[in-house]
Formats: sequence, C-alpha cells, structure tokens
Amino acid sequence: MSLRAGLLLGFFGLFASAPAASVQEDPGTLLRAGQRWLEAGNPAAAVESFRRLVRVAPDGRSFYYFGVALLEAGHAEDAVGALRRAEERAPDGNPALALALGTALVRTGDAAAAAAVLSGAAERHPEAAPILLQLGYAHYLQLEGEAARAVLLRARAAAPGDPAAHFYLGLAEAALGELEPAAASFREAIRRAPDEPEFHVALGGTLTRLGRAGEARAAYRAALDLVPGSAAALTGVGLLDLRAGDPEGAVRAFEAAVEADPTHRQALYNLASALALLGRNEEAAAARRRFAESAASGEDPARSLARTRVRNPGS
Amino acid sequence: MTAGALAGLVALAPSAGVGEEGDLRFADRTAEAGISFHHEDGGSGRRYVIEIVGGGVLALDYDQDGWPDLLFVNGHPLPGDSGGATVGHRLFRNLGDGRFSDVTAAAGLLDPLERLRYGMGGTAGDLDSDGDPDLLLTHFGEERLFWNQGDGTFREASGAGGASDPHWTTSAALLDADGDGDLDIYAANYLDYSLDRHRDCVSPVREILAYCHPQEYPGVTDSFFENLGDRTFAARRVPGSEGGKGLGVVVADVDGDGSPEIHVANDTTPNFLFRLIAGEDGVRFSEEGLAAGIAYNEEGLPEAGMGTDFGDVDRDGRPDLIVTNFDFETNTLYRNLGGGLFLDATAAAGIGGESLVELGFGCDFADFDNDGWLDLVVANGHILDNIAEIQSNLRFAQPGQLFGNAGGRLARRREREGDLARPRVGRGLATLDYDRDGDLDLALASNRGPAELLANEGGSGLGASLGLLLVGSASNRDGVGAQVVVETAELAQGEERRIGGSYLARHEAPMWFGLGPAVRADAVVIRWPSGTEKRLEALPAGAVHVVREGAGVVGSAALGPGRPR
Repeated sequence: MSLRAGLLLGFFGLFASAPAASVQEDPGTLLRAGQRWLEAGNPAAAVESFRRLVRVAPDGRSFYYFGVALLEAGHAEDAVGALRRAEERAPDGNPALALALGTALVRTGDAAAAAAVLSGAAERHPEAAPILLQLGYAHYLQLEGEAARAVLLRARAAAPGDPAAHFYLGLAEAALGELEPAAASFREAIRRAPDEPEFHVALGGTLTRLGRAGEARAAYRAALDLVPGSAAALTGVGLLDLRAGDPEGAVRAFEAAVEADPTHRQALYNLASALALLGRNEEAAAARRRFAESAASGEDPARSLARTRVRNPGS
Repeated sequence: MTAGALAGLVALAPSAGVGEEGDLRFADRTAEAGISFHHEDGGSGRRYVIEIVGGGVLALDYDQDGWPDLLFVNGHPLPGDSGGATVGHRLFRNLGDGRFSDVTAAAGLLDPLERLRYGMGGTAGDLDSDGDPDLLLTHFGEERLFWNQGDGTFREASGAGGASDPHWTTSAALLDADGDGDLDIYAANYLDYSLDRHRDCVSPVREILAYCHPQEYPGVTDSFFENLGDRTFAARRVPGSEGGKGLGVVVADVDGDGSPEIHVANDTTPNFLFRLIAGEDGVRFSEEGLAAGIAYNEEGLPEAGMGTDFGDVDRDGRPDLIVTNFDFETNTLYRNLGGGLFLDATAAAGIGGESLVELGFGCDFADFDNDGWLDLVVANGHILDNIAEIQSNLRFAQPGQLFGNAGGRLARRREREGDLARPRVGRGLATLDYDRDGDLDLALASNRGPAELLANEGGSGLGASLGLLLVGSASNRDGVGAQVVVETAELAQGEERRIGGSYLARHEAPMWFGLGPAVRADAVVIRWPSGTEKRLEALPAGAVHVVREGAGVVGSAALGPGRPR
C-alpha cells in the first residue's frame, strides 16, 4: 500500500504560484486545470494538462505537478523522471517534492532510493508526518524493521489521529515479530478508520500468527463486510479453515478468493492443497496449473524486496 | 487425507522454554579436543559467489573403532588471493578420550598443492559394501571419491569412479534408488557459474560491491550416480531438476510406500520432491514438489532454501520436513499429512518468528534432551560479509538456534544454546555423540571461520538413550532406508535410516533414540529395505547396539561418561 493522494495534495501549497507567461498556453490556466482534474479524481486528464504545462513553463513547479499527476495515474516510472527533473530545477529541498519523489520511488520498487530521498526531507522537516510515514514505509519495504519502527513512532507522535500512522507502525511491528503490539496498532488504525478493509485484513493476519483464530476470523469478516469479494480476506479465512482441519471450508473460501482475483497466487496455491486433501485430485491439478501460470507471470514485487538483492548493474 | 490429521496442526502452538537446574547446554570443546581448522574462502575482494557457500563437515567412523571422526571440507585460494597457507580438507581422528588427532596425511587425504580444489561438503557411506565408509567430496567442479581401504587409509578413485560431473555440486545424499542392495548418490547442483563468467554486483542500497544474488546465474540440473556394484557409477542428469539451484538434499519414504522420495532445497527456485518409479531401464524420476505441497511456502512463494531435513516432529509416524531459508523468510516446517501431502505448518509450529531475521543453513532434527521428541538445531550466518553496511539490522555472523520439542511443539530454547548462540557464519552442521556419553553433540563448519565442536553437556542426564548401528546384508550395507520403530511404555518413535540432510554435511552413522526415564526399549522393530522385518525385545539403553540384517544384535558398546576406549 502506498500513501494516498491526499498526502501529496496536502503539500501543493508549498509550491508558490508563478505568474502567467503566455496567452494561448497560459501556465496559470493549465496549472489550475490540472489541479482541478486531480481534485476531481481524473489524473489522466491532469497528466495532459501538466504535460502541456511543462512544455510552456519547464520549471520545477511544472515538473512537480506533472510528476504528481503521473504518479496518481499509475505511471510511477515516468513520475520519477518528471520529479527528478523538478528536483534539478528546484534543488532547495522542497518537502512536497521529496514526498512525491519518495512515493514514486516506492511504487517503482526502489525503496532504498526512496529512503535516501525521504531521509533528507525528514531531517529538514522532523515533524512532517506524511514524510515520516513514507520514510517508515520505505524502511519497512527494505525489511529494516527497527528503522521503520523508529520513524513510524515519530510519525505517530506527529499525527496521532492519523490512522495510517498506526497502520504502518503495525506493519513494522509485525515484521519484527512483535505481534501483540502490531495487533494493538492495527486496532488503533481501525478505531480511527473502520472502513479501511486493508486494516482489518492486516489485523486478521497478525491474529492468525498469534494463534487467535476466532479473533482473526472476526477481523476477516469485518473486511468482507466492507468488501465482500476481498481476495485477501477470503484467503485468510481459507487458511484458518485449512489449519482448523476444515478443508471443505477452505476450498469454499479459496474458490471465492480466486473468483474475485483469478491470479491470486496464495489462494490458488492453497486451493490446490485443500482440494488434494479432499481427494479431489483432478481439481487440485487444475488449481496447480493455474497457480503455476500465475507464479510464472512474474515475481511478486513485494516479495522481491524480501531479500537483499545484489545485482549486476547491467542485468 | 483426514481432517483429523489437519486438526493436529492446531496443537502445534509454541511452548515456553524455562531454564532448569541440571539442564543441558552446548559448550565449546574445540580447543581441548585438539581440532584446529579454519575455513578458507579464498577471497581476494572480488567476491566470487563460491566464496560464500562453504564449508562442510562430515561425521564418520572412518577407522571403524566405534568413535566418530570428523572431516572438515575446505575452500581454496581464488585468483587474486594473496592470502595465507592453504591447508585443504582435514580429517580428525577421535581418540576416544575427548581429543582428536589430525590424521589427514596418514589417511592419504593430504593433497599436494596442485591437486587441491575448492571444496564444498560431501557425504560418506559404504559404497562398495566392504564394511567401511567411503568418501564423496563435493567441489566447485567435479566430485572426488575416496575408497576406504579398511586400514585407516583412503585411495582416490580415478574420475571418481564415474560419480562425478563438472558442475558445482553442494550437498549429496545416499539412497538405494533401484533397490539393488547398494547405495546410489544424489548430488544437488547449484549455479551455472565459472570464475571467468564472474560479474561484479553492487548493492542498490549503498552502492558497494557485494556477492551476487543467485538470480544472476542460471541453475544447474542435478546429478544421479547409479552404483553399478563394481566400484563404478553411471552418471545421469536428473530430469525435472532443470533450473533448480540445489543446496540441500535429503531422502525419506514420505508416503510409506517403501520407495524413497528425494527432497532438494533450492535457493530462490521452487523446492523439489522426486518420486522414484521403477522401470525396465532403471529408475525414473518424477518431480512432484508442487503437488506434494513443499515447493513453495504457505504464501505460494518460493524461498531461498539452504539446508533441509526430514523428521517426525509430532510422532504421528510420518516424516515432516524442515527447510532453512534466507533472512526475512522463515525456516519453513512442512507437516506430513499422509498420502504424500504436506502443509506449511510454520506458523502453527512456532518457529516462524524466531527464524525470521536469521539466515539458516545446516540443520538437524535430533533428540538432544533424550525425551523421545525430535528437537531442531540450526546453524545461521549471512552470505554477505558486508550486510551490516547494506542493512543495518543484520549481521554476517549470526547465532545458532535450538528449538526444543515438547510433545510435538517446537519452541526456541535459548537457555540451552550455550556456545551455540555465539555468532558465527554458520554453514555445515553435523550431529554426533563424539564422547559417547549418551547425548548428541554438534560439529559446526563456518564460512571463513574456525571449525567448532560443541559438547552437549547435561543431555544424557535428562534421559536415557540408545544408538542403533545398522548393518545391511541383503539390503545396502548402511541400512539406508530402513524403517525403525522404538517403543517404550510412553512413546513409539519411528525413524528412517538416512544419509543426507543438513547442508554440506553428514551426521554420524548410528541412529539415536532418546528414551526419557525408560531404561530399555521395550521393542525395536526394523523393517529393512529388502523387505525383511526384525523385532528386538528389551533392548537396553545406554549402549550403541550393532544390528545386522538377518542376525539381530551382534554387538553392543556401552555409553556413558568415562567410557574406556
């Protein structure tokens, strides 16, 4: 999960408006248009406005907005490029730019670079909760649990009412194996934002690891009340069923998860196991084939960070 | 498969470890044993990938005097290494009084410099059925086979008698794959790598030179060496193992059909489980890791498998499986549910959290406190010598870990670890009762570190034990594949005689059974690979019993402190 657009948009004001520079392609008009598209939830249209903006006014501010729009439109790699150009043109350590660039880098999977960008910003703005949150998340993705927890504790102190601060802290605690504190953090996040299904799923997974199957099941149910087809929650239920010696229930849950997300690797894998346990061998083999196809489709990006990856630069 | 078997997973919850007066602990006895060996990685700073894989250790009674000896497998200088002396592999003879003597030269294993090659690990077994263990050493490159001549010396077989391939072999296991009464060899091969294809790899975090991720190089097909019974072997590539990056291998009859299955722990690629299918033109391999549920973890993801072992953790009569993995992956426990199906039970078993930060290599399911339940020991150590610069919460040298088993529940027993908990760059791990005091000790091989001998102090005081040294006649001489059930009033323990498992290592030959308070095993039932079965009554604890196929107990040697040589 990455930080939501609101965190980025909240820093827009840090870039001062520049005066209009042309008649036909007025930068001010393009800027306002793009901002309106962003606020309206149409990042693709915003991208077009800002693309025109950077042509007529290729300054740091223009590239910043262009980068944010690209990021919100799901073009993280392009966003990194635009934001790097913004950085070249406005090398003054602007916190909004650092946050946007850090977020984009996280989304491309380069958590290390994100942490480097965000660490500098966090030093300059030690109370900026959004920066601390994203920095903590970058540490978490690099499996630097202690560093993630330290930064996220600062984020929680800076923004105790922000459910994301509790949620990310819970992720870091869970990664460190501190499951009781993690469960408490997830419960705090849920108390502040009960309609976030991801929070319930995270709580369910942690309670499962704690062996509290009943509470875990309740957490997954809460997620399913919000999103009945949540593949993650259904998979969690299936694993609980499997461990409880109920392969029939597990099959039902995994099948529902796969129906919601036909490429859900964990659901497909465990569906095959549950079917095999029931002696439904042909169906198990079919599930395995689907799993194999899913597994071959590419490495899980989150998983790819689960090992210190030392690469040949040319590879 | 029954729901009842699944329900058993619920019981695999962690239990607390509490230190007790008179409890066991592992104590370093390396120096007083006279074992002096330092693993050479041969590194020159270029960070060739092979530098981080060794070293290995084998426990074997090479001179058949009843005392287990130790062989440590060494690396070799690599291009650019201007370092110190090159000592090669070292064989230490157990003198029976707590001391060992370096007999490498006397045993004919001291290589002239030009013959030294970069070693990994190996295995030992009676490959020519003449009554003593022969040696197969694995290398970065061809294997080397040494015939035990029965007089305390070895003679190298030309071309390893055919038990050799040019690939980078890591671990090896012995099994009678074709049921012909002699031991065949399964060799796990790792990466398609050569020094002239070395690449410089850089950590993206700190932009520093570091060892390459194994995904930089393709995997290599494993090898099977069929024993032809005349001191030669027929080498075959194992179909289905293409692309695998094998580091650990262990064999067990996982489905109870009388035929062995082969498990290979692969690094970053799915693990293998080969079923063997007899045919007119020999045995055929069928890779069924995915169907068996051991190829991936519960998340449906491949892990970085290093070491591995089978053991019946919950004493339900079926061998469970452990695979040690990379940091931020668990050591993954697959519970055998019967019918050849496994389920990832890591979370329920309580070992996941404790193994998350460590990078596991050598391992063994063994009963260290003689209570009849298999504990788990793991040697840990990172592969990146500069990992602390790359990831601040990790270290190159890491503590070993002991997980105690109380009634089928595994839990970390820090208070028993003693010197096992000292940080080391752990790799090979072998178990043996070197002092024949009735509890299992550890021999550890570290990467670019000293060999270690850790004595189990106190284990024999917690319960009685007995050892069984199987001698096959119709079956293979080592009795590999024999199914043994040891019964006391409180517990029935079923184990299989195997030569394999751990990582670049070989455990000593006797099978060990903890009997707790019992002074004897009420019954010992042995089902030999040949199909014959033998029931032995009232076998006393405190001894290693030699059991010959078709004859029963043909000798016993007492265990206990101060046992004379």
